[in-house]
Amino acid sequence: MDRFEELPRVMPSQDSTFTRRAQFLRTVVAAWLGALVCVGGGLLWPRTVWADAAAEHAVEAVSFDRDVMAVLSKAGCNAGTCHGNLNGKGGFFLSLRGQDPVADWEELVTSADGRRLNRIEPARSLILLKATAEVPHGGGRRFGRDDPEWAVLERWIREAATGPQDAAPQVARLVIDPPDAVVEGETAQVPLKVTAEFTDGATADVTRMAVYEPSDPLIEVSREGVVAFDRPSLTTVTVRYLRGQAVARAAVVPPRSDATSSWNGPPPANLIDEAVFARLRQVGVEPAPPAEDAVFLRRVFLDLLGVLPTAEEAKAFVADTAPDKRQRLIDQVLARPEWAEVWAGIWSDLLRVEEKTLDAKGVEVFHAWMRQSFAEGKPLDVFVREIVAARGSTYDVPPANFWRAHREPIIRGETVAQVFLGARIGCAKCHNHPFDHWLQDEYHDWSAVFTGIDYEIVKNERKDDLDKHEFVGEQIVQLKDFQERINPRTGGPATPRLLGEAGYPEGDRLEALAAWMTSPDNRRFARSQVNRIWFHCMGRGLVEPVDDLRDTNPASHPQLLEDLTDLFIASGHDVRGLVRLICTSQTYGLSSRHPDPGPLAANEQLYARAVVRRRSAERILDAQVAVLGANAQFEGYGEGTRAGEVAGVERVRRKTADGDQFLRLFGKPERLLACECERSNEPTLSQALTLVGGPGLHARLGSQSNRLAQLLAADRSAEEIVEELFWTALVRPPTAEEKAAAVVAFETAPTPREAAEDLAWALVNAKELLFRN
Amino acid sequence: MAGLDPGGHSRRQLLRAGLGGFASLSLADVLRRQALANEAARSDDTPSGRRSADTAVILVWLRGGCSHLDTFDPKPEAPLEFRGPFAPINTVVPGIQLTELLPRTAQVADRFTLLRSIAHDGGGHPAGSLQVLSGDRDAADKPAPVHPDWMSVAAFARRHQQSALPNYIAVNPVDRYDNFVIAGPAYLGPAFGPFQVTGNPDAPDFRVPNLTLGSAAAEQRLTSRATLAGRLDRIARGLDTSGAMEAADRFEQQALALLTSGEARRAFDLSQESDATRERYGRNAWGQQCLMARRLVEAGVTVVTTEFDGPLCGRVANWDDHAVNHHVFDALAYRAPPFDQAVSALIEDLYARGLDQRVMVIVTGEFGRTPRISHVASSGGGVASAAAGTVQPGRDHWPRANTMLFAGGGIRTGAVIGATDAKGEDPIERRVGPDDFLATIYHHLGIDRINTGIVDFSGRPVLLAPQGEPIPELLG
Repeated sequence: MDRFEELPRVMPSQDSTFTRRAQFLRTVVAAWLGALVCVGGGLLWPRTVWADAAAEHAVEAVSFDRDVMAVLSKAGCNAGTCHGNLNGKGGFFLSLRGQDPVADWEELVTSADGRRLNRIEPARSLILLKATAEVPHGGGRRFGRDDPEWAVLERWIREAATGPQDAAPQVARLVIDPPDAVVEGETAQVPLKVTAEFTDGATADVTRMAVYEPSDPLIEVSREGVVAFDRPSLTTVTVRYLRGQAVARAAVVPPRSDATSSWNGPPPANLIDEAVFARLRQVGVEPAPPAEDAVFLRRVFLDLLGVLPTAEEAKAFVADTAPDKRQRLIDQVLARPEWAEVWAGIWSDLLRVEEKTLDAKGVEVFHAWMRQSFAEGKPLDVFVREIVAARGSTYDVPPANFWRAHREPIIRGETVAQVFLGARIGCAKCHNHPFDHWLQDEYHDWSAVFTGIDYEIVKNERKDDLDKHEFVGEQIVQLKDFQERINPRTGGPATPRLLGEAGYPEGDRLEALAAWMTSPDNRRFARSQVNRIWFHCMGRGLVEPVDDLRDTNPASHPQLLEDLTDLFIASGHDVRGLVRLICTSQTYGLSSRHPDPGPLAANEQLYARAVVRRRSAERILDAQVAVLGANAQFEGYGEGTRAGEVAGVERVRRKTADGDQFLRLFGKPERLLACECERSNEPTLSQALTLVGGPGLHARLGSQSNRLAQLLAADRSAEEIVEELFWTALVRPPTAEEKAAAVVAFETAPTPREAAEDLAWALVNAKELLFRN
Repeated sequence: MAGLDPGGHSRRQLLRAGLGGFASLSLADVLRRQALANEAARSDDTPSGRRSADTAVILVWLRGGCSHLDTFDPKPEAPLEFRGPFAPINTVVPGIQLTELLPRTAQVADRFTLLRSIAHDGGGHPAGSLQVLSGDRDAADKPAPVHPDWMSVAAFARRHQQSALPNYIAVNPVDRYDNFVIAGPAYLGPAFGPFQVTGNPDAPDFRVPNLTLGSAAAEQRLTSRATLAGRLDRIARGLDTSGAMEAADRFEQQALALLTSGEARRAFDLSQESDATRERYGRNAWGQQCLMARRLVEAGVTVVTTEFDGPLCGRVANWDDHAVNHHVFDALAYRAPPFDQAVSALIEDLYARGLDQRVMVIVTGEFGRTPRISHVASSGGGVASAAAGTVQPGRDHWPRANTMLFAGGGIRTGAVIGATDAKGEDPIERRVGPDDFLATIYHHLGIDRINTGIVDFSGRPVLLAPQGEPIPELLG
């Protein structure tokens, strides 16, 4: 009866003799009961159940590392919403997604007085009764008695619940077959087969025990790995098995007629179109027709410059008949100063350019430096190197404000990784990254890189003594020796180490960091910046979210992202050049309307049509101001300042003018996070009230020196005024119906002025203007 | 626990049944549920007659932290250096006493329940507020919320409920403490923040900001503008797969309705109430804030918050009764009458109008105050504070214990949950934390804490009040 020696190893949870004695008694009783059960065991055990289901495992003993850990993931036990939560659930704690087998084994076997397992009668083990919902379980029924999950756990318990082995082979790679399925049909079932390759050279079919997570939330993947489409759609499926992760793509496309080859897309203008059209051809969708001239012009101006073209510019462009006018337009636009202003704004959002920490002067010099950098065409790697390696006075060395804004090693490490390398490593602060390969140790070693950046606070005239985030006055950013940082996992000091690398190079620390980061060998940098530039041109990243690049979050067009990355590196990190390439593609210039009403043509990640997005706060306000010819006010800025020119968030503390309020209300970020996600272009009720009846708009409409006043003073006909306002606001002439409706308004309104105001109101509130399309 | 189920729609029920019971979710599961719920809600064009999720909450927020010893948790037997000057009084419920500051509230004690054992470790105003309102577990102050407060979560969970009024309205908003933002939607996005009503609703010239055009002619004009815009704005809505354009249209309609239709605006109009009612609540900011809150929940709003601060608090305009700020006892005596009147009126009215099952009223601040009285020099003279330099009594921050008041919500009232020790320093029975408080609110609102489908900025699924359980005595 050697099984008795395997009886629960009771961990003394309390020291009292009484408890230990009670446990001893319990053990003895259990042993005797166990003996009784064992006598009749052959009859009572439902052996056949597991024997069939787990036949393939029957030869070897159940491995905790491989089999049990896989079940804990497969059944969802160790999910972050369940027992994998930091707080566990119902007193049962597992490591998130199984990253700590030793802790999980102890939790299963010894915690809770060992009562989770019943060695005598494994099928009566609490973990099995809970998982099958035979006793009430907050997480419901996870599997049944005839499932292989049950068989694995039951057999593991019966085989003495052995623990993790140090030498257990790890998953080296997961291979999914098919990796990129395209199936025709209105509905379809696409079975995936998952093979794990282990570090000891063994392979195993793990299809049944892998975990499947589709990117399209409406698509279901069965336990057996069958992707079920109830309509044509595209999805990626992330597959996890133990510590291995891989991604497959699957698409179901409507059945095509025999004329599959009659794909009628336009000829590609460049490699972007080749890649986008190839994917469209693969899924049987044609691109939308090119956008009308006016729509294209409006898109180019607002996307790239943040402002509307004037009516004259618009008319001239539409009247131009040269075939290359769109390319020429892009070139002209990229040479304008507003282009650099837009990019300075993008980077100001990312680098936390706000007055509370940088003070007004810091904001001003940092923003001006960025604008100048983009205007002069500074290569992006140089731009980033100058930021990362900066030190000195935050007034004299503008990019040193980056370090002034980021005052903690952890925050510095996270920001640098996210903004410059497209890696969201934050999850790895508390545990190994669940969706990426970053380990907790790597996170803390990387944080240690950012110790020793210190500040000489020359002056601080902060207004709020309690607010430690506020600084007013010059600071000198200084580089000191690495400071000790504790890795909370090991309790020992973290070793400064570049992210994902073995060590830290010699030489000036920040220079070395900057050089490593922007080196052509570090494709992460270039790739993440290409994705960001694409995002700001196209309205959607090749990878979404734009700063979350990882193996398990693949690009919509993976090869295109790599090709553009090569080009970007080869061009010397030329931002303007990449923007030109993107915006002169056919893809950029497509209409947002697609004749095909189907879900694939609408799927944004195919780029079969232009992406529709609400315009940013700055663009909406600047358009309103430009159309009405009456300024908005920004506290601390001169009359006539545009929203796009505003460098920071709040130049005069706790004091805002109508323009500042508008920007906040429409989602301009406070710039407290180094993330594009902090900017919200989501509509709200308060925005609607501001657009419909807000005091700022009211004042601009009613101004006696605005565009309406000028048009009316010029003694022009109602039709002319209508035409002019349409060109000014929507960059196009009114349609006949629109013109008729507007002219009627002029005829019926008490005064022409009122009619003009009403029409202008309608135009600045038109979704055509508020939304990129 | 009731699910989030705005309409008795069969498709939705089917979906829920199909997914039923599985509480362990991956991110994909969370997103999937959210997408299914969205689909079901979108397909739910015709509102069904009966709503299962029409419950509401009114939060009265005592910004700065109210002394529990001097109000809801009297300790007449405590040593002199702890107990204040206010004598305990009996209430209509035998065995429950309040201090003499709250005579009217004592008369409605059968209609509320006191939780005397809430405790946390957020010792600063920002940290304490964030712990109580958003379940943040960080004991340190931070400039702005990292997690959405329960009010925004409720607005998010009820986002598909169509109504002329916003589903979260803040009447004198809970939003800031000095420069610190203490409440907000965080990663849910600004769409789920409150519609803010600022200003004193008792003032004769009070108007809800942004909601008044001033004249019938102006309203007429707005209507004609909107008609004209409808003829010009013909961009196809289906183009935007993100749903933002649809949302913008919906908010625009709501804005137009608020500005031009009497019906929606009437909910804010206190002149619709009789003088007697207005008097009963108290003709002051707090009283009329509470009356507006009652009108709003009656009109179908899910969450109304109303902050008691401003001049009625005394010199520093909040409840932060350190001796440097206020003479704590003078200050409490100064603000007790309007407080006592407004809160008791709200509770009484809730029952009188049959809202007591549907609407839960909660009165609390971020923490209690230090039981041991301190004596420190005032930093300035004013209402309820002696001249600068004069030593006066005060009480400091005390997150270790506080009392919360709950009324309505279908709960069993006339009771006390938990107790603090003889000095009011720590709970000695039924200690509960902020997550229990939040779980109780979510339970009342029928918000499924696991399946609501919130993900944070990093894409991580967020559980609501994961460390808490609804307080059993407060379940309706």
